[in-house]
Amino acid sequence: MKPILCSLLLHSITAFGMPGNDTVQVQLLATEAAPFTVALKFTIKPEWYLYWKNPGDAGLPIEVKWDLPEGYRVGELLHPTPSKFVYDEVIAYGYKRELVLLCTLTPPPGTPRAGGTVRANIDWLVCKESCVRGSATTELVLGSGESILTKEELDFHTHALPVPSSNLGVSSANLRVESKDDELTAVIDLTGTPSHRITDFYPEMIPNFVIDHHGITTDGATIRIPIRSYETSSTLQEMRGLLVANGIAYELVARGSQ
Amino acid sequence: MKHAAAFLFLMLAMSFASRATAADAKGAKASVGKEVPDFTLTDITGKTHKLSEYRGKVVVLEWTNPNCPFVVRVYKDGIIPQMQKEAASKGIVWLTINSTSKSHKDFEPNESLRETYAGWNASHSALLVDAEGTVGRMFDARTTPHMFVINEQGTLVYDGALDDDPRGSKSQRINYVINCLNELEGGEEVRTATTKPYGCSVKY
Repeated sequence: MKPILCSLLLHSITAFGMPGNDTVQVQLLATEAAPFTVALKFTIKPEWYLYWKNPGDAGLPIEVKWDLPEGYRVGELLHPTPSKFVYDEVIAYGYKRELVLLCTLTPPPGTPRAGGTVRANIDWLVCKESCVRGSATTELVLGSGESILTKEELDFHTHALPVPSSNLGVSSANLRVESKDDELTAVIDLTGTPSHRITDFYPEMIPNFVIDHHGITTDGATIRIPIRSYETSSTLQEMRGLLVANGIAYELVARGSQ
Repeated sequence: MKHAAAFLFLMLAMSFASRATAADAKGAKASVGKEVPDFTLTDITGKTHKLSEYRGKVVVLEWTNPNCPFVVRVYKDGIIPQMQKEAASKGIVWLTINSTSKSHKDFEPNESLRETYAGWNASHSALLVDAEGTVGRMFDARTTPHMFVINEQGTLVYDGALDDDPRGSKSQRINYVINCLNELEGGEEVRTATTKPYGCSVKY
Protein backbone atom coordinates (compact mmCIF):
# COMPACT_ATOMS: atom_id res chain seq x y z
CA MET A 1 0.00 0.00 0.00
CA LYS A 2 1.26 3.43 -0.91
CA PRO A 3 1.96 5.73 2.07
CA ILE A 4 -0.05 8.61 0.57
CA LEU A 5 -3.19 6.49 0.65
CA CYS A 6 -2.62 5.60 4.32
CA SER A 7 -2.23 9.24 5.13
CA LEU A 8 -5.46 10.20 3.36
CA LEU A 9 -7.38 7.48 5.12
CA LEU A 10 -6.04 8.59 8.46
CA HIS A 11 -6.82 12.24 7.98
CA SER A 12 -10.26 12.17 6.55
CA ILE A 13 -12.46 9.47 7.96
CA THR A 14 -15.82 10.08 6.43
CA ALA A 15 -19.04 8.38 7.35
CA PHE A 16 -19.53 6.35 4.20
CA GLY A 17 -23.01 5.76 3.00
CA MET A 18 -24.38 9.25 3.70
CA PRO A 19 -25.44 10.71 0.34
CA GLY A 20 -24.20 14.18 1.35
CA ASN A 21 -20.65 12.82 1.37
CA ASP A 22 -20.60 12.37 -2.41
CA THR A 23 -21.41 16.04 -2.77
CA VAL A 24 -19.03 17.62 -0.25
CA GLN A 25 -15.34 16.93 0.48
CA VAL A 26 -13.76 18.30 3.66
CA GLN A 27 -10.12 19.01 4.41
CA LEU A 28 -8.58 20.23 7.67
CA LEU A 29 -5.55 22.54 7.45
CA ALA A 30 -3.57 24.40 10.12
CA THR A 31 -0.93 27.12 10.31
CA GLU A 32 2.58 25.98 11.22
CA ALA A 33 3.00 27.49 14.68
CA ALA A 34 0.94 28.39 17.76
CA PRO A 35 -1.51 30.05 18.19
CA PHE A 36 -2.85 27.95 15.37
CA THR A 37 -5.45 28.96 12.85
CA VAL A 38 -7.22 25.94 11.49
CA ALA A 39 -9.23 25.95 8.28
CA LEU A 40 -12.03 23.60 7.35
CA LYS A 41 -12.12 23.58 3.58
CA PHE A 42 -15.33 22.28 1.98
CA THR A 43 -15.31 21.50 -1.73
CA ILE A 44 -18.91 21.41 -2.96
CA LYS A 45 -20.20 19.85 -6.19
CA PRO A 46 -21.38 22.44 -8.74
CA GLU A 47 -24.93 23.79 -8.15
CA TRP A 48 -25.11 22.44 -4.58
CA TYR A 49 -24.81 24.71 -1.56
CA LEU A 50 -23.96 24.56 2.14
CA TYR A 51 -25.54 26.89 4.68
CA TRP A 52 -24.38 29.96 6.62
CA LYS A 53 -24.86 30.11 10.41
CA ASN A 54 -28.37 31.38 9.71
CA PRO A 55 -29.57 29.02 6.97
CA GLY A 56 -32.62 31.22 6.24
CA ASP A 57 -36.17 29.88 6.01
CA ALA A 58 -35.16 26.19 5.81
CA GLY A 59 -31.90 24.23 5.88
CA LEU A 60 -29.36 23.68 8.62
CA PRO A 61 -26.08 25.34 9.60
CA ILE A 62 -22.86 23.32 9.55
CA GLU A 63 -22.02 21.84 12.95
CA VAL A 64 -18.42 21.30 14.02
CA LYS A 65 -17.47 19.48 17.22
CA TRP A 66 -13.78 19.55 18.11
CA ASP A 67 -11.63 16.98 19.92
CA LEU A 68 -8.61 18.96 21.05
CA PRO A 69 -5.33 18.24 22.82
CA GLU A 70 -5.47 18.76 26.61
CA GLY A 71 -5.89 22.39 27.69
CA TYR A 72 -6.43 23.86 24.20
CA ARG A 73 -8.97 26.65 23.77
CA VAL A 74 -11.04 26.96 20.60
CA GLY A 75 -12.17 30.31 19.22
CA GLU A 76 -15.37 31.18 17.37
CA LEU A 77 -15.94 29.49 14.01
CA LEU A 78 -15.55 32.30 11.49
CA HIS A 79 -17.84 32.20 8.45
CA PRO A 80 -17.05 34.07 5.22
CA THR A 81 -19.69 36.34 3.71
CA PRO A 82 -22.50 34.11 2.42
CA SER A 83 -24.55 34.50 -0.73
CA LYS A 84 -28.27 35.08 -0.52
CA PHE A 85 -30.27 32.63 -2.64
CA VAL A 86 -33.80 33.81 -3.30
CA TYR A 87 -36.30 31.23 -4.47
CA ASP A 88 -40.04 31.78 -4.89
CA GLU A 89 -41.02 30.81 -1.38
CA VAL A 90 -37.70 30.52 0.40
CA ILE A 91 -34.62 32.57 1.20
CA ALA A 92 -31.40 30.71 1.93
CA TYR A 93 -27.97 32.03 2.96
CA GLY A 94 -25.07 29.83 1.95
CA TYR A 95 -22.11 28.93 -0.18
CA LYS A 96 -21.52 27.25 -3.52
CA ARG A 97 -18.36 25.58 -4.88
CA GLU A 98 -16.01 26.20 -1.95
CA LEU A 99 -16.31 27.24 1.68
CA VAL A 100 -13.50 27.82 4.16
CA LEU A 101 -14.33 28.19 7.86
CA LEU A 102 -11.55 29.52 10.08
CA CYS A 103 -10.96 29.01 13.77
CA THR A 104 -8.17 29.78 16.26
CA LEU A 105 -6.74 27.10 18.54
CA THR A 106 -4.71 28.37 21.48
CA PRO A 107 -2.43 25.99 23.39
CA PRO A 108 -2.40 26.25 27.19
CA PRO A 109 0.12 28.82 28.51
CA GLY A 110 3.57 27.42 29.11
CA THR A 111 3.23 24.58 26.61
CA PRO A 112 6.87 23.89 25.71
CA ARG A 113 6.19 22.52 22.24
CA ALA A 114 2.80 22.85 20.67
CA GLY A 115 1.42 19.74 19.05
CA GLY A 116 -1.12 17.01 19.46
CA THR A 117 -4.00 15.72 17.39
CA VAL A 118 -6.96 17.89 16.49
CA ARG A 119 -10.08 16.18 15.31
CA ALA A 120 -13.12 17.89 13.75
CA ASN A 121 -16.44 16.06 13.69
CA ILE A 122 -18.52 17.82 11.07
CA ASP A 123 -22.20 17.50 10.23
CA TRP A 124 -23.87 19.29 7.30
CA LEU A 125 -26.88 19.56 5.08
CA VAL A 126 -26.22 20.19 1.39
CA CYS A 127 -28.97 21.22 -1.02
CA LYS A 128 -29.70 21.72 -4.68
CA GLU A 129 -33.24 20.85 -5.77
CA SER A 130 -33.36 18.46 -2.83
CA CYS A 131 -31.28 18.19 0.34
CA VAL A 132 -29.02 15.48 1.70
CA ARG A 133 -27.22 15.12 5.01
CA GLY A 134 -23.51 14.44 5.26
CA SER A 135 -20.88 14.06 7.97
CA ALA A 136 -17.16 13.57 8.27
CA THR A 137 -14.41 13.28 10.84
CA THR A 138 -11.11 14.77 9.84
CA GLU A 139 -7.92 15.18 11.87
CA LEU A 140 -4.36 16.43 11.81
CA VAL A 141 -1.33 16.63 14.09
CA LEU A 142 -0.56 20.26 14.93
CA GLY A 143 2.98 21.42 14.18
CA SER A 144 3.77 18.21 12.31
CA GLY A 145 4.35 19.93 9.00
CA GLU A 146 1.39 18.15 7.41
CA SER A 147 -1.70 19.85 5.92
CA ILE A 148 -0.20 23.31 6.22
CA LEU A 149 -2.36 26.41 5.85
CA THR A 150 0.13 28.82 4.27
CA LYS A 151 0.23 32.52 5.10
CA GLU A 152 -0.99 33.34 1.58
CA GLU A 153 -3.96 31.00 1.94
CA LEU A 154 -4.77 32.37 5.39
CA ASP A 155 -4.68 35.95 4.06
CA PHE A 156 -6.89 34.99 1.15
CA HIS A 157 -9.52 33.34 3.36
CA THR A 158 -9.34 36.09 5.98
CA HIS A 159 -10.22 38.56 3.21
CA ALA A 160 -13.45 36.67 2.58
CA LEU A 161 -14.65 37.32 6.16
CA PRO A 162 -17.06 40.18 6.90
CA VAL A 163 -15.43 43.35 8.25
CA PRO A 164 -16.53 45.55 11.22
CA SER A 165 -19.38 47.95 10.48
CA SER A 166 -17.21 50.83 11.72
CA ASN A 167 -15.30 50.39 8.42
CA LEU A 168 -18.50 51.43 6.65
CA GLY A 169 -18.91 54.49 8.83
CA VAL A 170 -21.71 53.07 10.99
CA SER A 171 -20.97 54.18 14.55
CA SER A 172 -23.84 52.56 16.45
CA ALA A 173 -26.97 50.48 16.01
CA ASN A 174 -29.98 50.67 18.27
CA LEU A 175 -32.53 47.88 18.40
CA ARG A 176 -36.22 48.33 19.19
CA VAL A 177 -39.35 46.27 18.61
CA GLU A 178 -42.50 47.71 17.05
CA SER A 179 -45.84 46.03 17.62
CA LYS A 180 -48.76 46.76 15.32
CA ASP A 181 -51.94 44.67 14.84
CA ASP A 182 -50.33 41.65 16.53
CA GLU A 183 -47.37 41.88 14.15
CA LEU A 184 -43.86 42.42 15.46
CA THR A 185 -41.02 44.18 13.66
CA ALA A 186 -37.45 44.43 14.91
CA VAL A 187 -36.18 47.86 13.93
CA ILE A 188 -32.48 48.72 13.86
CA ASP A 189 -31.68 52.45 13.75
CA LEU A 190 -28.18 53.12 12.47
CA THR A 191 -26.15 56.19 13.31
CA GLY A 192 -23.15 57.47 11.41
CA THR A 193 -22.47 58.34 7.81
CA PRO A 194 -22.10 55.16 5.75
CA SER A 195 -19.61 55.52 2.91
CA HIS A 196 -21.80 53.32 0.70
CA ARG A 197 -25.54 52.81 0.47
CA ILE A 198 -26.74 49.90 2.63
CA THR A 199 -28.85 47.65 0.44
CA ASP A 200 -29.53 44.56 2.52
CA PHE A 201 -29.20 42.92 5.93
CA TYR A 202 -28.48 39.24 6.54
CA PRO A 203 -29.62 38.53 10.12
CA GLU A 204 -28.15 35.86 12.34
CA MET A 205 -30.71 33.61 13.99
CA ILE A 206 -32.34 35.01 17.14
CA PRO A 207 -33.18 32.58 19.94
CA ASN A 208 -36.94 32.28 20.53
CA PHE A 209 -37.92 34.29 17.46
CA VAL A 210 -38.80 33.42 13.86
CA ILE A 211 -37.51 35.84 11.22
CA ASP A 212 -39.48 36.59 8.05
CA HIS A 213 -36.46 36.88 5.74
CA HIS A 214 -38.61 37.92 2.76
CA GLY A 215 -39.90 40.91 4.68
CA ILE A 216 -36.53 42.51 5.54
CA THR A 217 -36.30 46.08 4.21
CA THR A 218 -33.87 48.97 4.56
CA ASP A 219 -33.79 52.62 3.53
CA GLY A 220 -30.09 52.85 4.37
CA ALA A 221 -30.56 54.35 7.85
CA THR A 222 -33.07 51.91 9.32
CA ILE A 223 -33.49 48.17 8.93
CA ARG A 224 -36.89 46.58 9.45
CA ILE A 225 -37.13 42.84 10.18
CA PRO A 226 -40.56 41.22 10.64
CA ILE A 227 -40.39 38.67 13.46
CA ARG A 228 -42.66 36.35 15.44
CA SER A 229 -41.96 35.35 19.03
CA TYR A 230 -42.05 31.82 20.45
CA GLU A 231 -43.84 32.98 23.59
CA THR A 232 -45.58 36.20 24.54
CA SER A 233 -42.91 36.69 27.22
CA SER A 234 -39.98 36.37 24.76
CA THR A 235 -37.79 39.46 24.76
CA LEU A 236 -35.33 40.69 22.17
CA GLN A 237 -32.24 42.44 23.47
CA GLU A 238 -29.69 41.89 20.76
CA MET A 239 -29.49 41.19 17.05
CA ARG A 240 -26.44 40.35 14.99
CA GLY A 241 -26.06 40.23 11.28
CA LEU A 242 -24.36 41.53 8.18
CA LEU A 243 -24.96 44.91 6.57
CA VAL A 244 -24.51 44.64 2.82
CA ALA A 245 -23.18 47.71 1.03
CA ASN A 246 -21.42 47.91 -2.33
CA GLY A 247 -21.07 44.11 -2.43
CA ILE A 248 -19.22 43.95 0.91
CA ALA A 249 -20.60 42.55 4.19
CA TYR A 250 -20.10 44.41 7.47
CA GLU A 251 -20.67 42.79 10.85
CA LEU A 252 -23.31 44.52 12.94
CA VAL A 253 -24.39 44.10 16.55
CA ALA A 254 -27.55 45.99 17.48
CA ARG A 255 -28.68 46.25 21.10
CA GLY A 256 -31.82 47.46 22.78
CA SER A 257 -31.65 50.70 24.73
CA GLN A 258 -33.41 49.44 27.87
CA MET B 1 -69.40 60.89 -23.85
CA LYS B 2 -71.26 57.64 -23.69
CA HIS B 3 -68.07 55.84 -24.54
CA ALA B 4 -66.18 57.72 -21.86
CA ALA B 5 -68.79 56.77 -19.25
CA ALA B 6 -68.69 53.14 -20.32
CA PHE B 7 -64.91 53.21 -20.16
CA LEU B 8 -64.99 54.74 -16.69
CA PHE B 9 -67.47 52.09 -15.54
CA LEU B 10 -65.22 49.37 -16.94
CA MET B 11 -62.22 50.83 -15.13
CA LEU B 12 -64.14 50.97 -11.84
CA ALA B 13 -65.43 47.44 -12.30
CA MET B 14 -61.89 46.23 -12.98
CA SER B 15 -60.49 47.98 -9.94
CA PHE B 16 -63.21 46.49 -7.71
CA ALA B 17 -62.60 43.07 -9.17
CA SER B 18 -58.88 43.22 -8.52
CA ARG B 19 -59.43 44.53 -5.00
CA ALA B 20 -61.80 41.67 -4.22
CA THR B 21 -59.19 39.15 -5.39
CA ALA B 22 -56.48 40.72 -3.27
CA ALA B 23 -58.77 40.77 -0.22
CA ASP B 24 -59.64 37.10 -0.73
CA ALA B 25 -56.01 36.11 -1.01
CA LYS B 26 -55.15 38.06 2.12
CA GLY B 27 -58.13 36.68 4.03
CA ALA B 28 -57.15 33.12 3.20
CA LYS B 29 -53.98 33.11 5.31
CA ALA B 30 -53.79 31.04 8.47
CA SER B 31 -52.11 32.65 11.47
CA VAL B 32 -51.72 31.82 15.14
CA GLY B 33 -54.60 33.00 17.31
CA LYS B 34 -56.99 33.32 14.36
CA GLU B 35 -59.67 31.02 12.99
CA VAL B 36 -58.24 28.83 10.24
CA PRO B 37 -59.86 29.36 6.81
CA ASP B 38 -61.60 26.24 5.57
CA PHE B 39 -59.94 24.07 2.93
CA THR B 40 -60.65 20.86 1.06
CA LEU B 41 -58.06 18.32 -0.11
CA THR B 42 -58.14 14.79 -1.46
CA ASP B 43 -56.19 12.02 0.24
CA ILE B 44 -54.10 9.33 -1.48
CA THR B 45 -57.09 6.96 -1.56
CA GLY B 46 -59.23 9.54 -3.37
CA LYS B 47 -61.33 10.51 -0.33
CA THR B 48 -62.11 14.20 0.17
CA HIS B 49 -61.39 15.91 3.49
CA LYS B 50 -62.79 19.27 4.51
CA LEU B 51 -61.22 20.91 7.54
CA SER B 52 -64.56 22.19 8.87
CA GLU B 53 -65.82 18.59 9.09
CA TYR B 54 -63.38 18.12 11.96
CA ARG B 55 -64.68 21.08 13.98
CA GLY B 56 -64.96 20.00 17.63
CA LYS B 57 -61.76 17.95 17.38
CA VAL B 58 -58.14 18.93 17.74
CA VAL B 59 -56.38 18.72 14.35
CA VAL B 60 -52.64 18.31 13.76
CA LEU B 61 -51.26 19.24 10.33
CA GLU B 62 -47.89 17.81 9.36
CA TRP B 63 -46.16 18.96 6.14
CA THR B 64 -44.24 16.12 4.58
CA ASN B 65 -41.99 15.02 1.71
CA PRO B 66 -40.75 11.41 1.90
CA ASN B 67 -37.57 12.38 0.03
CA CYS B 68 -36.50 14.90 2.65
CA PRO B 69 -33.86 13.50 5.07
CA PHE B 70 -35.45 15.29 8.05
CA VAL B 71 -38.78 13.60 7.36
CA VAL B 72 -37.09 10.23 6.91
CA ARG B 73 -35.35 10.65 10.27
CA VAL B 74 -38.41 11.63 12.32
CA TYR B 75 -40.26 8.61 10.92
CA LYS B 76 -37.41 6.10 11.13
CA ASP B 77 -36.57 7.22 14.69
CA GLY B 78 -40.21 6.46 15.48
CA ILE B 79 -40.94 10.00 16.71
CA ILE B 80 -43.86 10.82 14.41
CA PRO B 81 -45.35 7.26 14.29
CA GLN B 82 -45.46 7.23 18.11
CA MET B 83 -47.08 10.69 18.22
CA GLN B 84 -49.65 9.66 15.59
CA LYS B 85 -50.54 6.56 17.57
CA GLU B 86 -51.07 8.54 20.78
CA ALA B 87 -53.01 11.23 18.94
CA ALA B 88 -55.34 8.62 17.43
CA SER B 89 -55.99 7.10 20.86
CA LYS B 90 -57.07 10.52 22.12
CA GLY B 91 -59.37 11.24 19.18
CA ILE B 92 -57.03 13.84 17.68
CA VAL B 93 -57.18 14.16 13.88
CA TRP B 94 -53.76 13.96 12.23
CA LEU B 95 -53.53 15.18 8.63
CA THR B 96 -50.23 14.67 6.85
CA ILE B 97 -49.99 17.00 3.84
CA ASN B 98 -47.67 16.67 0.84
CA SER B 99 -47.36 19.97 -1.07
CA THR B 100 -44.59 18.74 -3.38
CA SER B 101 -45.25 19.99 -6.90
CA LYS B 102 -45.76 17.46 -9.70
CA SER B 103 -42.88 19.08 -11.55
CA HIS B 104 -40.37 18.52 -8.71
CA LYS B 105 -38.17 15.45 -8.66
CA ASP B 106 -39.30 14.71 -5.07
CA PHE B 107 -42.90 14.23 -6.25
CA GLU B 108 -44.29 10.74 -5.60
CA PRO B 109 -47.53 9.27 -6.94
CA ASN B 110 -50.20 8.15 -4.47
CA GLU B 111 -49.39 4.45 -4.53
CA SER B 112 -45.73 5.07 -3.82
CA LEU B 113 -46.65 7.44 -0.96
CA ARG B 114 -48.94 4.81 0.52
CA GLU B 115 -46.20 2.18 0.46
CA THR B 116 -43.53 4.47 1.91
CA TYR B 117 -45.61 5.69 4.84
CA ALA B 118 -47.01 2.21 5.54
CA GLY B 119 -43.40 1.00 5.64
CA TRP B 120 -42.68 3.69 8.23
CA ASN B 121 -45.63 2.56 10.40
CA ALA B 122 -47.40 5.88 9.92
CA SER B 123 -50.89 6.06 11.42
CA HIS B 124 -52.14 9.49 10.36
CA SER B 125 -55.88 10.01 9.86
CA ALA B 126 -55.16 10.83 6.19
CA LEU B 127 -52.31 11.67 3.82
CA LEU B 128 -53.50 14.63 1.76
CA VAL B 129 -52.24 15.66 -1.65
CA ASP B 130 -51.68 19.38 -2.19
CA ALA B 131 -49.60 19.30 -5.39
CA GLU B 132 -50.83 22.80 -6.34
CA GLY B 133 -49.48 24.09 -3.02
CA THR B 134 -52.69 26.03 -2.28
CA VAL B 135 -53.08 24.87 1.30
CA GLY B 136 -49.30 24.96 1.91
CA ARG B 137 -49.24 28.62 0.90
CA MET B 138 -52.36 29.35 2.97
CA PHE B 139 -50.44 28.17 6.05
CA ASP B 140 -47.12 29.53 4.79
CA ALA B 141 -45.69 26.04 5.30
CA ARG B 142 -41.94 26.49 4.83
CA THR B 143 -40.31 23.18 5.65
CA THR B 144 -40.81 19.47 5.95
CA PRO B 145 -41.64 18.69 8.66
CA HIS B 146 -43.55 21.93 9.49
CA MET B 147 -46.24 21.36 12.12
CA PHE B 148 -49.52 23.14 12.92
CA VAL B 149 -52.13 22.51 15.61
CA ILE B 150 -55.76 23.64 15.37
CA ASN B 151 -57.92 23.57 18.51
CA GLU B 152 -61.50 22.30 18.85
CA GLN B 153 -62.85 25.76 18.03
CA GLY B 154 -60.95 25.88 14.73
CA THR B 155 -58.30 28.36 15.89
CA LEU B 156 -54.65 27.92 14.95
CA VAL B 157 -52.76 27.46 18.23
CA TYR B 158 -49.33 26.24 17.07
CA ASP B 159 -47.13 26.94 14.04
CA GLY B 160 -43.55 25.68 13.93
CA ALA B 161 -41.05 22.90 14.43
CA LEU B 162 -41.76 19.39 15.63
CA ASP B 163 -39.14 19.70 18.37
CA ASP B 164 -35.94 21.52 19.30
CA ASP B 165 -33.68 18.88 17.77
CA PRO B 166 -33.17 19.46 14.00
CA ARG B 167 -30.14 17.13 13.86
CA GLY B 168 -31.76 14.35 15.86
CA SER B 169 -28.75 14.26 18.15
CA LYS B 170 -30.16 15.37 21.52
CA SER B 171 -30.81 12.91 24.32
CA GLN B 172 -33.39 15.25 25.89
CA ARG B 173 -35.60 17.13 23.49
CA ILE B 174 -38.55 19.47 23.79
CA ASN B 175 -41.38 18.27 21.57
CA TYR B 176 -43.39 21.45 20.94
CA VAL B 177 -46.34 19.61 19.38
CA ILE B 178 -46.71 17.16 22.28
CA ASN B 179 -46.48 20.07 24.73
CA CYS B 180 -49.16 21.95 22.82
CA LEU B 181 -51.47 18.90 22.68
CA ASN B 182 -50.99 18.31 26.42
CA GLU B 183 -51.81 21.95 27.17
CA LEU B 184 -54.97 21.74 25.06
CA GLU B 185 -55.98 18.53 26.84
CA GLY B 186 -55.41 20.15 30.24
CA GLY B 187 -57.40 23.24 29.25
CA GLU B 188 -54.29 25.41 29.60
CA GLU B 189 -53.06 28.19 27.39
CA VAL B 190 -50.52 27.11 24.76
CA ARG B 191 -47.25 28.59 26.04
CA THR B 192 -45.08 28.21 22.94
CA ALA B 193 -47.34 29.01 20.01
CA THR B 194 -44.67 29.75 17.38
CA THR B 195 -41.22 28.30 16.70
CA LYS B 196 -38.82 28.29 13.78
CA PRO B 197 -39.60 25.21 11.68
CA TYR B 198 -36.63 23.16 10.51
CA GLY B 199 -36.06 20.84 7.59
CA CYS B 200 -36.03 20.90 3.81
CA SER B 201 -37.92 23.66 2.06
CA VAL B 202 -41.38 22.70 0.82
CA LYS B 203 -41.00 21.81 -2.88
CA TYR B 204 -43.77 24.02 -4.29
